[in-house]
Amino acid sequence: MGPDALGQLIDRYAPALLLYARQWCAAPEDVVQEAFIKLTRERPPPRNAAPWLYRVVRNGAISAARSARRRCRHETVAAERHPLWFTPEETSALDAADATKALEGLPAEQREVIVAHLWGGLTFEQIAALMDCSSSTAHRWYSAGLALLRERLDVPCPSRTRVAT
Amino acid sequence: MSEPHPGRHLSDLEHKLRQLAPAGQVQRDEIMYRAGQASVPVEAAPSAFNWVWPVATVFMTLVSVFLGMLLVLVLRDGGERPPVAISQPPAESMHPPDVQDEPHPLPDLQPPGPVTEAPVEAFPHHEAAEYRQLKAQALRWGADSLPVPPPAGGGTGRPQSVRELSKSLAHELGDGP
Repeated sequence: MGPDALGQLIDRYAPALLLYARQWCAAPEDVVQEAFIKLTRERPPPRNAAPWLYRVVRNGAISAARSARRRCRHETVAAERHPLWFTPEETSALDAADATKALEGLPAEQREVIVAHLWGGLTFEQIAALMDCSSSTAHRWYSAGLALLRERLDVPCPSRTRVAT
Repeated sequence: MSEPHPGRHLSDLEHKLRQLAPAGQVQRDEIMYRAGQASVPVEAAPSAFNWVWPVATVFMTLVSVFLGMLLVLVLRDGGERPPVAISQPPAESMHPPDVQDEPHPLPDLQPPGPVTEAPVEAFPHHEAAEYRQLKAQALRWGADSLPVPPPAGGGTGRPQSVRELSKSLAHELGDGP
């Protein structure tokens, strides 16, 4: 894999991969970085790099979280700080802290599907392969997660708004 | 970021969520640097010649072992060398020669009494050695160098009693009988 192709992959997928890995571990940068380096070692390189990266990041993040849980109280205190998952911006319609809190409160599988689909751009088939479930199950989790987020972020449902109006 | 479903319109909530930028940033330059290192294959040398050094090492080891064993065998067989032919003196020289064969008889060695007829073979070994020593001495320095034989009478020259001692002393002092 050439440096240009790798640079494009980093620019395109790294932020979403960071958010994806942050669901499990407190230091997602290391996991994502290792995933990209592992990608360059692959002989031959994977045909579709995005699902491969998500799988590697998922395994790495879960492993890192397991290791962090075994470590001392210092890690526990650090994990309790709850850093924001999103960068606060004035132009955003949603508050970063509220979105982080709402997303953290979702069930794990719903949150994972939403992050992988909405920010990562993976299709439901790719997410299903990643999570070892069917694509319909992934879609169902996605819809359920969105409904919960809408409720917690107090975003009105368009259809209900239409009905109400 | 790619569109998840191009044919599907995102809802208002999805739009708002996608506007949120994930926090954190990867070190792009560090990734590129480490990726460059990792992309270099470990076996940079051509693999066609990878067998040369192991084969040469094994060959030289076998040669060394063979030469070592050869050296050990040669050293071990060294104790069983064939005897070296050394010119030995004639067998007669190991025994006292016949007195009659001597070109230079040693009259002083013979006691003045009757010549003993003892066979030469009957001499003990140390007497033969003494004889050879005397012979060599006579041949080299002449007969004068030979020791004085014991006095006539068959004695050993030493007084055997007090009487003989006093007699010999008196004889030496010149007041003999």
